[in-house]
Amino acid sequence: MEQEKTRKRLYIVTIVLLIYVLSLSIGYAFFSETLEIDGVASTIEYYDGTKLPHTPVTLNNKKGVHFTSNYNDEYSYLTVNGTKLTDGYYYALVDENWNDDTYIITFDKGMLGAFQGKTITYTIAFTNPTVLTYTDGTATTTDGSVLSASNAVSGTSDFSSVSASIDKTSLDPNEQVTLTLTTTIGTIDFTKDSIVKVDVAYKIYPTDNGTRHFYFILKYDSTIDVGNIFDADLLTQCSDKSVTKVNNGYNVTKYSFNCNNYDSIVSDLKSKLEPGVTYRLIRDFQGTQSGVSGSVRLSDGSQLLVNGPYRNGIRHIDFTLTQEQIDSIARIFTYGAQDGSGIFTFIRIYKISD
Amino acid sequence: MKKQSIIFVSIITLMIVLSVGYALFSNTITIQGTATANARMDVEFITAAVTTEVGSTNASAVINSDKNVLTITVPSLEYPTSYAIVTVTVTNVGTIPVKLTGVRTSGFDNSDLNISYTNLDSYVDTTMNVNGTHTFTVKVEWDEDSQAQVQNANFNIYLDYEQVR
Repeated sequence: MEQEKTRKRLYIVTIVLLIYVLSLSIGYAFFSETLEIDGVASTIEYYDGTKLPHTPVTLNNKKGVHFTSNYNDEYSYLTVNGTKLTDGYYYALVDENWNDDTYIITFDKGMLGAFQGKTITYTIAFTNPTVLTYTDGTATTTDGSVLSASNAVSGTSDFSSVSASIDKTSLDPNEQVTLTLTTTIGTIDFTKDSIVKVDVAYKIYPTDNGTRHFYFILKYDSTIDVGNIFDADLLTQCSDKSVTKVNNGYNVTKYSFNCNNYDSIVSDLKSKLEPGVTYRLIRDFQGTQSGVSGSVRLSDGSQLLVNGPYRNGIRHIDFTLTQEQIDSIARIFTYGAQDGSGIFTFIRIYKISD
Repeated sequence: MKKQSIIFVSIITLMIVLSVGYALFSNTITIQGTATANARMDVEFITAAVTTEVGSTNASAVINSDKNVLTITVPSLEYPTSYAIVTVTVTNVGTIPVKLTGVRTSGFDNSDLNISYTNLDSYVDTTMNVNGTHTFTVKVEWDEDSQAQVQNANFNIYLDYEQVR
């Protein structure tokens, strides 16, 4: 009995002692807090074996386009007060689009008419935006030949030669490379589009899971008349009734064909011409030659305001008119072949400078 | 019986000695007054921002409404060596000084994605006074030698704070 009482007393004392000791430690660690940072990170399939990381460079700040061309400097036929006009290609530009791994420039194919046999270059640039080095750079061209809406036409090309080059085969981080595409214009088929594609390829060190590519595509579109203000279809509505529309253009069934002031094509053209602006009248004519077959002319009824070139092929003339001259236009002459075989594949007038 | 009594007495004696040790010299002074205990410990994320992205897009750092959880998201690391850096500031908005007692991490062992931080270790066991701040950075980087095409990683960093004794 006594032993039992003693055991109980001991038990109580121990409990009290424990509580006392615990309360001491609790008193020293009462306030604490944990802040938490949760993170998630993901890599993406940027290097999927085809895309070359790059940052486009705008080379033509004046027009806000990425490319430059020798077209404006070397082949601008028009001079004003002894100074060649520049950026003429801009007015034939349909679109430029730099998206993902491809840069495409699209022109109105009609602009090529002035450059048969000539060599035109296009230059673009981009930089290496990564912290890695690009090596083993190459630039190879594919001439898309002449493409119909759905099929390539074999054995025919608008370009007698194409080539491309890059000025750096190794590219350090943030370094810029310049790509030059050189094309020599051959025999042009204006009924179809034409494309040249440049494949720029680099390897990337040290990851090098393969070769990466960037593509530059130059396209001449035969379906778009960018800025063309001459509606050739209206020739068929002139009271003279000597022009019919055929599959490959407009057949002028007699030698001299006139559209007069009361014909809609004259008033339509006058409403679109701007004074002081330089235009290019360009046409492609095929037919039996005599006299001035193939010429397209603007007249005020007594004198010529624009005397277009004659003979077969693609030819052009550049002109600038005052408001008075525009208002005085009374007649549009088109000269076909004596035997009625003359066909204008196209006749266009478009702005080449402001 | 004797033995147990001896133990019992010894324990009591020990307790008394402990108390006596603190109160050998004592004098009783009576102070009358009223005291209210309102000490508060509160450490919060105050700012977090993505300050650098190289080869990375759309990284984000979001503090939750309680300001004790920060979520860092780096969704698009584009190539090996690309990275994002988040700068974080923690502040003591409580009423008592605190100190960082430790930094715990998880998910730092991914072989393709390198997670690291700067400055935090220098704050361990240093006092952060009321309104004081700790600023550090967290870096998420795609490892240079990684051959992975697509990789995802989750990670956590825990900052343990305590009141200063």
